Amino acid sequence: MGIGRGEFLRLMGLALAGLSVDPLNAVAINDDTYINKKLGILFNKPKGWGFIAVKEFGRLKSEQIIGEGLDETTDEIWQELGDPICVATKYYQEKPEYKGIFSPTITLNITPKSELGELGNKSLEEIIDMSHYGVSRILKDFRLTKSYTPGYISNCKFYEFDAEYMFEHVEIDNPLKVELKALKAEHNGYYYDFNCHQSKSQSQWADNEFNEFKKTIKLI
Amino acid sequence: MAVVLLTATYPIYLRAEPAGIYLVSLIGYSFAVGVFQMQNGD
Repeated sequence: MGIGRGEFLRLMGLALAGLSVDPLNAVAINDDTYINKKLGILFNKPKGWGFIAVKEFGRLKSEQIIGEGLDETTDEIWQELGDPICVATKYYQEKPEYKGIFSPTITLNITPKSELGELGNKSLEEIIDMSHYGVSRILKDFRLTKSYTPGYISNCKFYEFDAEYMFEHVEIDNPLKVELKALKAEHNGYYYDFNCHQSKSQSQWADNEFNEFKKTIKLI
Repeated sequence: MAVVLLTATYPIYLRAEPAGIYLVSLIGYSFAVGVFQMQNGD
């Protein structure tokens, strides 16, 4: 499983060529490349996109409307969901002309299997099925539209799904239809979960960017 | 974009002052929801 430490280090060296990098740093970003040595993952965000600072996550979470009709508070739901470890988005610079525009976005969540307790003993397929039910209660009108035959990235089995949901936000009056491509894998005791969002109804397409992004993912 | 090297898990970037609000979804088809579901007993 994985591409092997030697190959990973070679790719990391290429990505960071010419830079002075402290070997103790767990995460490094050089232009489009994100490297997390601790987790053994490397990928390129789409060109021209930007990473979102973790300090912005709180604001973004407070603006997205989730879990209506549930007993849990929004904070409790977010606590269960956890934060992504990395978010890349098309409109990373805040400009007046972007107001109300859905920004195509890629998020990466990594969940240690140990965090799921007894659920960690279930198969990945079972966990995915349970996730489907859970997400459908949090995101309005969430539904799967396509399940792909599992493929391999860095010799790791990846499950790919297309889905859609209605995005609700404090700044917009009506929910916005969003298309989602999800890539899921289990590797080295972690669940890897890439989610790629776009909104075709707002003409915010990113199919090409998502396909190119997928090709860049490397796991050690 | 400048090189940013980090000692923590999360990246930190400098950004321009907010001048508008674009829409970003942080939630996907997440594994963590399995925990959420279990705790609700559904």
